[in-house]
Amino acid sequence: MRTTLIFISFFVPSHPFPVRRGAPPVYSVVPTVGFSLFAVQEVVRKKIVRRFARRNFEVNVIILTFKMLFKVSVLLVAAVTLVNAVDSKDETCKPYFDQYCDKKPPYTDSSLRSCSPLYGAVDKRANQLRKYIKEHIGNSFEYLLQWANFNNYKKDREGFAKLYRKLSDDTWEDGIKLVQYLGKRGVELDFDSLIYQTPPQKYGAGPVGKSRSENEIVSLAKVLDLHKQLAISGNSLHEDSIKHDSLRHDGSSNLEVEHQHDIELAHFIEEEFAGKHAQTVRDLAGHSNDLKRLLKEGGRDDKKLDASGFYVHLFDEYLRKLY
Amino acid sequence: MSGMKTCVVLMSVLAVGWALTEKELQDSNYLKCNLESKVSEGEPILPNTEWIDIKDECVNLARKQIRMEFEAALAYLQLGSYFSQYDINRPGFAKFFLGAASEERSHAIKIFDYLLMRGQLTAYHSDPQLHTLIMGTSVNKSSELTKLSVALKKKEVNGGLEALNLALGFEVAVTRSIKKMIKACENDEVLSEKEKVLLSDNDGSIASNDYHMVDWLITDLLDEQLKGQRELAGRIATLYKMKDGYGQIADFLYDKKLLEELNSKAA
Repeated sequence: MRTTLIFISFFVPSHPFPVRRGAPPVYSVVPTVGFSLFAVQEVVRKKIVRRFARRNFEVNVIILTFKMLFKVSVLLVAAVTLVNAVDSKDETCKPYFDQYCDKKPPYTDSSLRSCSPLYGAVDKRANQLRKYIKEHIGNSFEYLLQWANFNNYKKDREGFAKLYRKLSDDTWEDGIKLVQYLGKRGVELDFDSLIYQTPPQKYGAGPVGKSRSENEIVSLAKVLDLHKQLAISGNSLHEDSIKHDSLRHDGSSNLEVEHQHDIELAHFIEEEFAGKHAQTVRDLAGHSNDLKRLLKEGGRDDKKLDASGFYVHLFDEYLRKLY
Repeated sequence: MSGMKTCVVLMSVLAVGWALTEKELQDSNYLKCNLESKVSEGEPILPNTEWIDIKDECVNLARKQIRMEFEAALAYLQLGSYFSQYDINRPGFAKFFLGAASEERSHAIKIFDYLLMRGQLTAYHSDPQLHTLIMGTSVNKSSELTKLSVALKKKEVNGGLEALNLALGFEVAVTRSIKKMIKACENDEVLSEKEKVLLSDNDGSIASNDYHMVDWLITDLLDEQLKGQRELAGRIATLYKMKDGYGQIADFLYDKKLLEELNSKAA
């Protein structure tokens, strides 16, 4: 009885039935039913006592039945509360320790779970973040292949190679930063999803590792598209993380806040990615337009000699000094 | 009659004019992108390929090695993220494994660099295995990487000791593969028929014993591997001895020590 009382006192004030966000509705329905039973039985008992005042024996039997019903409902409530308490990820931490500290019987290893750092809406953005990691790592590999492509003896474009290598290193570092970020905010990195998920390529670059030996302008254009995709994904992550929280009714007419807003996530994307991506995309677009003009002038037939090789070499020298 | 003549002359003038403008338009809109296809006057002067004397088998194994290094990098990335989780909370181990991931990537880049120096990777062959590894469009459930990811998901990796042991396992596999590459590069046996003909026709065009690559593999890659293995083995031994009798506190203390060590190394 003492433990049941503890359970009741644990969740009666202000927030009657603490239910883990995203838990099946039955979790909130069962304790509600239990408590309604408890309230109803008091009323019914009084009625019964009045009506069957003369027949003491039957009254006693009925009262006993109701007592049993009450106990069963309390047990049910306790069981559901226990399930919720153990499973809770974003609920308060202290009641959980209150429940176990210095109590007998002692906890089992499986019943002791971790308190979580989850708050805000970062868990709702988990899949987007995982995809973002995947995109970073995929792009980093692609840039590396471009680096190798321009570093071979036939191409020998040191400037282009340096540009792509820098991009590849940067993107790889950012991927690792994102992995660390997931850890910081308490979102699990679904390992499978990291390896076995192809990000949507709106700016349709061919799959990584299947790139053919590409010429200078086409590779610049491709890398620009790939990087723009990174910037776009960052945009949508930010957009989703600054939505307003919404209120919704759960099954038992309780108002529950559905978190959409996550200031820290929005800040992280702004601080780490937004400015950098915009600058890189701008730089790449600028390079590709410069190179386009040079190719156009160099490759014209009204000149006796085709000068594009010469022009591209000069442009490569420029990139070499720049990066 | 004269009207007819005038008409014909006028039309032919128009036609010629139209053709000329069309040609001019075409010329000015033509964007020449691919510089290697330039055959303007005579044969293009490209470096001859006599200087490229690396064996095919060596190149194939090196490419395989690149793939293996990337695979190890991804595995370490997974381990790093595993230790970053709040319920595991081992920042030292997380930093160690994330650092190891970047290191494996740098090994792959080293091999790229060497192949480029020897005149390889001029035409990019599609590499479906590398593609699968990175993008994972076709799921290969039996790969080591998947097995690791499943084990981590189920939290079957218990603490730092087991993770370090896993890492040592990866390193041993990588070392063996490097040794295999060394053997292939110093042997005549792996020469293809074409290469054997080349060797007998003109000595020097194919290096039957690729001294330079073997030397590079030993002094650069293998050296790093062996030192890395020693480091891992040392860590495992220390942690194992600490853990004997003390489970959680050993993991906790070792993790903090590791973090401090890595931070002071970085500074």
